[in-house]
Amino acid sequence: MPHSFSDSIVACSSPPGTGAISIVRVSGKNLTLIVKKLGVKKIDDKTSIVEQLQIKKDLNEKCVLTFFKSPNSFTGEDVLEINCHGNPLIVEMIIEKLIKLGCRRAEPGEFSMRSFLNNKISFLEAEAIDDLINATNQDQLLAASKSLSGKFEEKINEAIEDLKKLRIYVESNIDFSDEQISDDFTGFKKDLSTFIDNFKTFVLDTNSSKYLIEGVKVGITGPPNVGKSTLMNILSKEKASIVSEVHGTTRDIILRSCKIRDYEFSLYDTAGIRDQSVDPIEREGIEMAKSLLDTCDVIIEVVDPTNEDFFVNYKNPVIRVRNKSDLCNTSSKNRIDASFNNKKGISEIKDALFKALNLPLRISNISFSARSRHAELMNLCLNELESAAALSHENSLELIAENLRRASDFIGEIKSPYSSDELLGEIFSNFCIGK
Amino acid sequence: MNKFDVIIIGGGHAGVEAAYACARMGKQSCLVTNSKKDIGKMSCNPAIGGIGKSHLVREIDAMGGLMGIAADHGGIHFRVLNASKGAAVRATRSQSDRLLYASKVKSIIDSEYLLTLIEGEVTEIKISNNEAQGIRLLNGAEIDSKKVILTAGTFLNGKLFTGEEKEEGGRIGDKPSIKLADFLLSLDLKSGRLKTGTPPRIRSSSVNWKITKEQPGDNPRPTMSFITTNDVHPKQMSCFITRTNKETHEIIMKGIERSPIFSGKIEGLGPRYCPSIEDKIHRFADKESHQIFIEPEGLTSEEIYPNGISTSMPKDIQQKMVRSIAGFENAEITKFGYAVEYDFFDPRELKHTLETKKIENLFFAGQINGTTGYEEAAAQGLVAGINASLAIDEGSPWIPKRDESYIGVLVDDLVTLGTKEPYRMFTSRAEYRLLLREDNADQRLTPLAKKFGLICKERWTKFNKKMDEIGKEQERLKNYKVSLKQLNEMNSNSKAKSKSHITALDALKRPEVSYQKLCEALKIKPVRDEVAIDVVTNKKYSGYIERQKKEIKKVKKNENALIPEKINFNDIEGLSNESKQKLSVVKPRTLAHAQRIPGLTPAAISLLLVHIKKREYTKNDAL
Repeated sequence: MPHSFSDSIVACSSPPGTGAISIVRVSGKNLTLIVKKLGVKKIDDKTSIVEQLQIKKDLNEKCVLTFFKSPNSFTGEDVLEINCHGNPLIVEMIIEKLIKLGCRRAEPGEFSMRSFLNNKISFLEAEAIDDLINATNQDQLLAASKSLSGKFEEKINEAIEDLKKLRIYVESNIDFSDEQISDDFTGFKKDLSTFIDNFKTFVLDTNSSKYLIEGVKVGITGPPNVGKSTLMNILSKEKASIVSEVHGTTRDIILRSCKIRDYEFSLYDTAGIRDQSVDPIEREGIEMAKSLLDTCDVIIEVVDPTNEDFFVNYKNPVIRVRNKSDLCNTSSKNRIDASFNNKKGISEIKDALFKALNLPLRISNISFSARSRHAELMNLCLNELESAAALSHENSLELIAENLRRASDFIGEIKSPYSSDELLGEIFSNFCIGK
Repeated sequence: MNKFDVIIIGGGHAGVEAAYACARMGKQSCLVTNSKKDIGKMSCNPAIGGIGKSHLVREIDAMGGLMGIAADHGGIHFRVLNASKGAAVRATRSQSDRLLYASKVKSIIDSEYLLTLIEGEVTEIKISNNEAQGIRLLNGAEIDSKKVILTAGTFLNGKLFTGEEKEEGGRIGDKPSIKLADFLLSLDLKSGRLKTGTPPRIRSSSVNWKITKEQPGDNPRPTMSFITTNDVHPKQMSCFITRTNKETHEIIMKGIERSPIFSGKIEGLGPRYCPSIEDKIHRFADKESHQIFIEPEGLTSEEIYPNGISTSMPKDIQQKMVRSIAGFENAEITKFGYAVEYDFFDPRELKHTLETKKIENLFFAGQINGTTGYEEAAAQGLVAGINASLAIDEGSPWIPKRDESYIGVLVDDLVTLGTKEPYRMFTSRAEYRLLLREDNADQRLTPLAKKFGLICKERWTKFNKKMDEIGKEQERLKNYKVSLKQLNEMNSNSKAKSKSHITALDALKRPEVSYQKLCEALKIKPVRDEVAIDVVTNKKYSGYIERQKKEIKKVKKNENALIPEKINFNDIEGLSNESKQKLSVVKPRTLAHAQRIPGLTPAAISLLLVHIKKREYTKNDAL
């Protein structure tokens, strides 16, 4: 986290490397002096001028300068944007010149952070900006832009308001039970369950949106030599891992990304789980695989008819598949029958993936961008709400109240993450420099 | 010239509790009151306890205070509110015989040989170099002390209103403290005006009891104190219930512009939660009727207290309004209702010890800090008394914590949030509500009270005996097994899957299993209620308690992040003036404390954090 917010910061705000133009951005409380020292006679708010800047002793660079006067800028401070020729050397010279004039190199996310600290954007907007910038497809772009215009925050606020009403009922029936405020417990239970139903939809949307923005992490696992790598190759439509007949070939965790029905999927082909393995390297691989599977959104467990009794319990949703089903006559009881070599069962696996993740087939109805941070907090909130709903008797009102209090803390944290242990700076530092 | 350790100004509920605490802690204390006969007087309704408030009473009692004991000796009606809900929100409420209550308070105070009672009007606090050093009385006498605790209640610039009539006074029949108020205002402490009110009193023989609804006290009768038994309770009386009606509301609406609140004569804000009847009718226009509790004033009193129709309407309207109510058709009003408006001081200018930040050795407790209610006042008196005494001994202060007691919630709320309306305790103010039960106040505080030398041997022995019994009962229940069949017989939805037997202690976790049923099923003798409730509740709440404890741990990190005392909040870069001002008034001690200041945005907190880090950083650099 930066140690000062009163000094002026500078960074290249366009992507690194060569290009037609690059943009150097400066933000500070008052840039008048710096602008003057750059040799600019006069520049007005929200105007652009062309100016020859002397960036080295014998080097002048023709730039376009745009000035935004505080508080009407992105950061809420004076902001100067310098468009120069897109050469990293020129960019660096301009930055060094500005440092000589009293600026400091911006830390990652510092422009956004200043914007947030100056109350120009909310925390959720800051995140949406980051999503917008990092969007790699149109759907992501659309979702992020909707979030930026406040769609997500609006929905969060609505939920907070609804939750507040429920809490008012509970708290007033505890603190004013003698004063007959209202005691329609059945009505409250109904309101709570309606709220939960609506909230569940919101959680689903948030999850889908999270998957849209961040992609889905799929772990492929199972005993050795059942065709996990083959499955991965089919899904990612390219030959990625070495496919061989020797047990334990896939020692390392291999990652491929692919697109299935509009969503980005990261596929992790893990070492075949074979507990009796004596090879220390392979054992290490198995440990890695196990801990990786815990971080996956969904797991595909593959077996073949020779080891159908293979069964592992996972923390996360799992799709169980039997490959090589063409080699036997029986059909599997609780696994998807597949034959990867014949491309059989693939679309069933894809369907199962979407079902396990509760993903809508089409993205068109995703109306905001969300992140794991949001989804996690909302799921925690939902857990509390469901615990409250499970307490069916009025004599547990104080426990219902406690669940609702925690629920409202969790959802509140989406808007102001400060209440958690994380420092704001850590969150912003995930942004790139120049943002 | 006399020199005391502590002088306590005011003999109300805050004053007596403060004085009693100082005396118990071995301090030469002096309580100065306008009128000795009014020590421990209940100026408003004759009740102690109620939801949120009884928690405070139990905590004061656990610290060896007098309120609970006096309430038991004066109590003529006891009831447990929220009895059908869980232990954390159950609350005992008692009606007192005013005279018996006050006389018990007086006798406890009189029995303290370190405590001197002086009658007189305090006009000034002696202050030198921003340190309080004693007091000056109206007759010119001076009394010196190391600490001064001010508990002036509603007497500072008190004004009484009944309709268009206005007189000066702190309570009906008592003169206000104007000289002291003027002196205090000269100290440059932030102050404001608040108001509170009382209903008209009615001669009980003029009430038609037949058409009211009787509400007898509970049987068995609970006690307010941990060390009394209900044998000390005097004869019991019932309360009665009646209601306002359409006609009552019409009478009030017609005369509403003659009410001093609506005519603008009263500037002070009243308690939202205990509004006058004209307030209620004005704000909840669609409600056709409001409940009135008819509370007895005492065994020998001829008056009743109609709780729920506090008013400052003109006398003629009060008369009409009262007579429109069922049971009051022929009611004779013995005293008319009135509103009292008084000065209070912004509690954000106090430390958590209740010492003022501006003047050393001067403590404020009770209603002058913007609270309402006897229990809230008494709790502050206790905190001020203990801290004044600890400071004399140069011990570290007692800062009651939010996760430890309602007293902690009260003090932290006051010094952090300040208040715009009279502050009343509610259970919903305590985020760790499930930990702060009425029945475990002793477990939370009595060991601490022992450390401070606040409690007698009798209480300590009794407390240890209870703890011992709780331990034994837990052990005993652990050793009994309950079968699935037995669980089913107790109406439990048999969710026991793998285990066919669980321990009797674990069985209590199920919502349907009550202690009573369990003992019957196992054919064992139940232990006394006081012990059983702890065993049962700790088991029923166990999951929740674990999580609250985790939460406390998490907050503690920020609670331990101290803000340097010499920080100048105006130096914080980028902070808005509004935030600077908020921080400068409250002067938070810790980061967690700062986070609780209302209206301080996460952005402001981040800037504060950066500022502190930077200070440390530059300090380390300099080394």
